[in-house]
Amino acid sequence: MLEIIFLVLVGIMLAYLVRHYVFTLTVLKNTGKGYTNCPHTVTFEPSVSILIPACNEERVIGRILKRMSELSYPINKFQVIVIDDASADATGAIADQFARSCSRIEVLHRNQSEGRRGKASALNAGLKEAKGEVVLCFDADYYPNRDIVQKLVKEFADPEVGAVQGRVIVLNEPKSLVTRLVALERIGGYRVDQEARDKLGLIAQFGGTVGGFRRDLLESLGAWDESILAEDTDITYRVYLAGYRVRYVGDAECYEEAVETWRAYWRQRYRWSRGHMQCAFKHSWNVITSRKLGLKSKIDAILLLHVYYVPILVLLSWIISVPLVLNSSPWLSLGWSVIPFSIYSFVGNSAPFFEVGTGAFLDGRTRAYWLISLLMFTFLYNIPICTKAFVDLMLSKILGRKTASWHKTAHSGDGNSYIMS
Amino acid sequence: MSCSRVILLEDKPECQRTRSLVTETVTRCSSAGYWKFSHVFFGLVVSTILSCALLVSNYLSTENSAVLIAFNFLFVSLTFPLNGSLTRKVFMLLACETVGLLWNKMLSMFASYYGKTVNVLCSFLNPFVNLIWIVTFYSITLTILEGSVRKG
Repeated sequence: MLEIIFLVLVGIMLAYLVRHYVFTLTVLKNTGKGYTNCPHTVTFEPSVSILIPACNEERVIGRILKRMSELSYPINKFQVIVIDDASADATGAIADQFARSCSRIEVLHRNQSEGRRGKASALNAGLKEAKGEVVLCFDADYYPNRDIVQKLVKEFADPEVGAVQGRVIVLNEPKSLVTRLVALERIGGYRVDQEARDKLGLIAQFGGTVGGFRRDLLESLGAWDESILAEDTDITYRVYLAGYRVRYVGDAECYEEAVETWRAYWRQRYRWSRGHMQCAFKHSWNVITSRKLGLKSKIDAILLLHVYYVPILVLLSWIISVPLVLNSSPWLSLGWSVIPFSIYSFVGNSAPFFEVGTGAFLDGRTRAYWLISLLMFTFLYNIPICTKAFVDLMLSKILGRKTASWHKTAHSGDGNSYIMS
Repeated sequence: MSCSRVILLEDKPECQRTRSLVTETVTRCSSAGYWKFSHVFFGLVVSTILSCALLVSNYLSTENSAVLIAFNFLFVSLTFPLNGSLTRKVFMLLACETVGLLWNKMLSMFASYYGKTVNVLCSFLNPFVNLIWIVTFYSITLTILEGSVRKG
C-alpha cells in the first residue's frame, strides 16, 4: 500500500517536472519571436483606469505616483486612482500632494471602518470610481517602465483577451540573500513559466499587479472576491472560465520591491499558498467541467491550482520512503531518483533549477547562476509554509471560520536608492 | 515632482534593451533564436552512447544510473540548444558524466564501508547529494556558454 502511495506521489512530481521541462523547451524555441500577437501597425489606445491600492506605503507611494506622472500614454486617456486604505502614516497626504499637481491622479480615502480589509476590498472600492474601458492594477511598491500602459493595453485589440499580465523584476535585488533568491524565482516564474504558458495557449496567470482587465468583463464577473487571499489567482480562473484568456506581455516590465527578510517571505508565501489552496477548492471542479477550456488547458489549470499542495506531498513522500528504504523496496530506487530533478519544481513561482537557469541565461544574468543551488533553502522553507497554510485552511473550514486576516507586506523603500539620482 | 529627478532606467520603447538596476547589463528579447538543432542532435547521440555504456558496465546501482541518464538527457536538451560552441558543450557533458560517476561511486563505497546504518542514511540523502553536483555543474555550464557567446 505504501509503495502505491509513494509511486502516486512520484507520478505527481513527474507530472510537474515534465510540465516545467516543456515550458523551458518552449521558451528556448520561441526566444526572439517577440511578445505580442498584435500587428505593429495596430494602434489601440482605449481609456485606462490605473488602480493603486496603498496602505501605509509612505516610503514608496511617491515613487510610483511620480512615475504615473511620466507615463507616455496619451494624457487624456487615463486616470490614476490611489486607494488610500485607511493608512496610519502619510500615504494619503503624499497622494493628495501628487493629485494637486497632476490632474489625472485621484485619491480615494477609506476610513478605518471601510478600509484594512485586504487588497481585494481596496481594489473593489477603486473599481467603483474607474471610468476607463481597461482597468490596470499596480502595487504601491512597484515602478513600471514609462511605456508600460501601451504595451499592456494593445493586447486588448484581440476580443478574446480578457486580461493582461506584464513582467515583474526585482528592484532591490542586491539588498539581501532573500531578495536575490526572490529575484531568481521571478526570473523563472516570468521569463520562462508565464511566457511558455502564454505561447502554448495554457493558463497565463494574472499576478495581482502589473496587469489588468476589460472593465466590463471585470464588472460582469463581480469584481474581486474579498473572501479569497489570492484574489489574483481567483480572478484569473474566473476570466478563463468565462471564455476569455489572459495574455502575458513579457516586454511590459515593472520593478518591484521584494521582501527582504525570511520572516516577511514567510508571511507573503503563507498568504499566497493559503489563497491558492482556497482557489483550488473553489475552482477545481469548475475547471474539470468547463466547456470553455480545452484538455491541455484543463490539465495545466489543475496543475497550477494545486501547485502549493506539492511541497506537502514531497514531505509526505519523504516520510513514506522511510519504511520503504528500511525494507529495501524495489520500487523506491527509480521513484527516489526523480526527486533530484523535481525538487525545485515546487517553490513559490514553480520554477525548477533548469527553468531558473534558462531564464537567467536568456536575460544575460551571468552572476545569478551561482545562487541557483541556494533555491534549495527556499524550497525547504516552503514546506512548513504550505503545510501550515493547508492545516489552517482545513481548520477554518471545519470550524466554519470565514477568512484569514490579510497580512500586508511591509516595504522599506530601500528600492528608491536604485532609481533615485 | 519634475520628471528630471529620477531615471537610471532606460525604458525607451524603440529598443528592448534595458539597463539592469542591479549589477549587470541585461539584454532581453535577443534577436538570436535558441534552438541549435545540430547541437542537440549531436548531444543526444553522445548522451545515448554514454547512457548505454553506463547501463552495460553495471558500474553504478540502478538508482544512480537512472539519475545520471536522466541528467544526461535533461542537460543535452536544455543546454545544447543555447548559443555557444559545441566543443564546450560536449566537454561539459563529459565532465558532468565523470563527476557524477565518481561522486556516486564514492558515496556508495563510503556507504557500504560503514555498514547498514550509514547505507540507509546515504539512501535518504542521495537526492540531495546528487543535487549538489547537478545544479553546480549546470550553473558552471551556463557560465561557460555565456562566456563563449560573449567571445563570439
